[in-house]
Amino acid sequence: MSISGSNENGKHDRLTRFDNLVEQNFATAYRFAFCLSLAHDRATRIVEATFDEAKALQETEAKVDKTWILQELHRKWRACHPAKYDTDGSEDYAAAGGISIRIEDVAQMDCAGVLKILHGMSPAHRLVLSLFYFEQLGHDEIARILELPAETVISRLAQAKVLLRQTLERGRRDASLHSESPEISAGRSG
Amino acid sequence: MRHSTAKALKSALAAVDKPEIKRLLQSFREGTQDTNDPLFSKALASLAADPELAAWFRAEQEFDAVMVKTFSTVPVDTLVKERILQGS
Repeated sequence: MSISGSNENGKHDRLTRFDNLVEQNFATAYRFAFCLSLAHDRATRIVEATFDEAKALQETEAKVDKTWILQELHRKWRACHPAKYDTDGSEDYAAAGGISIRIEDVAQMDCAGVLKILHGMSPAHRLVLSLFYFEQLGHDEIARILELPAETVISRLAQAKVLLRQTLERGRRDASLHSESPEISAGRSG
Repeated sequence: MRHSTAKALKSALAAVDKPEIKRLLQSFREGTQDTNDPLFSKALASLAADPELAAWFRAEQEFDAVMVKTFSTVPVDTLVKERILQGS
């Protein structure tokens, strides 16, 4: 009876620990998975699989935390996209122009617009930006999660941020051109 | 002693050029281990001596704050969370 009661208590503790893990990290995991996979259904699949593994690991008393969850999401996504992952983002950088968005303009942009631009970037740049902005992590933790040298993360972040500002500005200019009335556009072209 | 420290600091700062300082500071995250990381110490110290660089860094931090705010509005599917919790 006492053994059974002890087992029950242990199971209850594990469930509570797992519930806490989910409560504390679900939003982080989901947003990162969405940024990796670019689709809600795929994000859902890798998030569910990762939390399933987390639950099994917790039962073995292994340490499971936010870093482990993000690492595991990244590994799962990378396993499905080895070819895409091989790019280092230099193709983005080479294509970037010299323009850069002003802070007043970026504050006017909505989340959907920014995400669209982020999704157009290479995985190498998208991943460092998502961890830097979604999770507000430092370069050393980003390096641990992506299993990259810290110096690589610093360089990619610098490139990715410059590129993001340039791409946001190009997007803003395109949007303002399209929102002009036909009369103005016609007047300009005529 | 104080003079030699200042001289050493000055020469150390001179060794790190401006583009390199900018490259480093673009990955600086306030409130993380970065604050005490020697890697960033020199770059941060150079802000005091260079108003143009300090203004660039303020703008960079402002841009980061806007992006963090924007990204925080990405919707999360709470039904998935409920399903995971129910599964436990």
